[in-house]
Amino acid sequence: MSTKQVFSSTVFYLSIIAVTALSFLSVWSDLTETVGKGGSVVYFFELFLGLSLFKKLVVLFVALPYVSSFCSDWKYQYIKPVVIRTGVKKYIWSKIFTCFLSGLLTVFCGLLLFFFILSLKMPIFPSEHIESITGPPFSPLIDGNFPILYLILKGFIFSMAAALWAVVGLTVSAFIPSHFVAIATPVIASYVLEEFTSIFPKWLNLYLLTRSANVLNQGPFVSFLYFCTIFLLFAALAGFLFDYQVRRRIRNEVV
Amino acid sequence: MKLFNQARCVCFQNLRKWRTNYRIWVIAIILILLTHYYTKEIVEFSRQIDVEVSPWLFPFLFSQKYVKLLFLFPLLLLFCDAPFIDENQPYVIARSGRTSWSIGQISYIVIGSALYFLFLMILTIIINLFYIQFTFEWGKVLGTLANTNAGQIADIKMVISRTITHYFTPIQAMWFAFLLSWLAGVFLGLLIYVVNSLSNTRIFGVLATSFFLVFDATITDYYELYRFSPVSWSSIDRIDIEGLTQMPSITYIYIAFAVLIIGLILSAILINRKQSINVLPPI
Repeated sequence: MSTKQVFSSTVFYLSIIAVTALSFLSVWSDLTETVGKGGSVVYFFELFLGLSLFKKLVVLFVALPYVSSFCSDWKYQYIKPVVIRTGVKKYIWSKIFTCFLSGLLTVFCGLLLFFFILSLKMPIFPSEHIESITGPPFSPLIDGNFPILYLILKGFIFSMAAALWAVVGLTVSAFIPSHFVAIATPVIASYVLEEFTSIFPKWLNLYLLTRSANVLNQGPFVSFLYFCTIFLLFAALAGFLFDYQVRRRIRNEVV
Repeated sequence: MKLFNQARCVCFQNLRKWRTNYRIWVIAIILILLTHYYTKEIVEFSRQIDVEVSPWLFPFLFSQKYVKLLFLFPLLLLFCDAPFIDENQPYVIARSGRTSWSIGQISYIVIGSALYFLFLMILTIIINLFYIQFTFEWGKVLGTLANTNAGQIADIKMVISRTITHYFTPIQAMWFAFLLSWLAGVFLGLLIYVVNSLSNTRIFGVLATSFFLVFDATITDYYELYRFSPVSWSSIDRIDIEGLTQMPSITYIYIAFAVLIIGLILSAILINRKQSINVLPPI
């Protein structure tokens, strides 16, 4: 039911378009200067990943489709009939799953659209000096049978990170059930936690993980699995906190 | 006198609500993060060259393209619920009368906007307090970044404009940057207020203001268009000081702000007198 709610919502599709628009906006000045002069899709995607503040704004659109859903459920008490029919556990974990999925798809589809539109005007990879733009762990994929996998995997990892921040927003909304807080939290949490984890070893540094940096010195697929596992683990951790707080709310333990 | 006392009560009641409003806390956190993000590179640069930075970073805060958009977006969120009609307002209107209430709400925008930029100004100092040397000069760090290409080499995003360090003393720059930003903030707040009051919604005011924010971001380097963009007037490096460029002069900016703000205040009072009072849920 939750997933249907997302897919039938116009906000979800508008958020995808907004992610694409923001991606274009972030590289616009370079795009207008270099179009027709050797720019490539990979170059502009790497440029976008390097502009950390625009990356943060993308997270804002991740929050729009579903992050504030618990606030609405709680404020208008839609939660009661749903919990009576499905049970607390199913309600909570379907919220977490849908929030993660909606965040992932919003950014991933938005980025795919960005890649597609750019590829109509320029090559995906530059014809020379590709090593100056790309780097490990995914750069070996460019020499393989499906070089496009480089873009897809990097985009997917970035989307996984955005989905994690969406779940963090959902969790905070269980503690402070305000729509405004729910939507702003992913942006704030991503900045604060990325800064905070910069003191940790680089394999736990969320800023580097979001950019798919070479933190393990392993091949592309091991690194990809590692990135996904870390983001899923953090999302599950946030999920458990959400579970704890929603159960407290349902038991009327929160004043 | 009674009118202004009632207006003062209406205004301060709105300000007292800030303490318990999560939106205000979120806006404050966003401003802290933005200020930290845009000033940390300069502090990092000052640590690398082992010279402390002077506290006058505020005039340069909006210098990079699109950055003003980011710093003014929280202001838009602050006033997005204008004309601030919550559950309690019908009772306030009944007790104070429409005109006093209207003047109170306008005063709230003026004071709220001043507090917003004052907070931002203090943040630029407090966030980097441990790396700051208090001096009434621009200091070696800002001077170097303004007069050489060290900023480009060190990949510092904030642009330290030579125009500002050349024409203004730090105190002058801080004052004019604050004053012009404040006037721009009041203009944006009043615009949301008037448009929302006219349309009896919350969306059209935000859209009208967003237009001016985006317009400012898109006309960077088109000097002749700065005259038509009130948001651009809040940057002191976009003022024509010696009469050699197509940018607006300070006199033009003062007069234009005065005309716009007085026009919007009068419109707000007139519209409020006949406006239907619809209580909308809090944002």
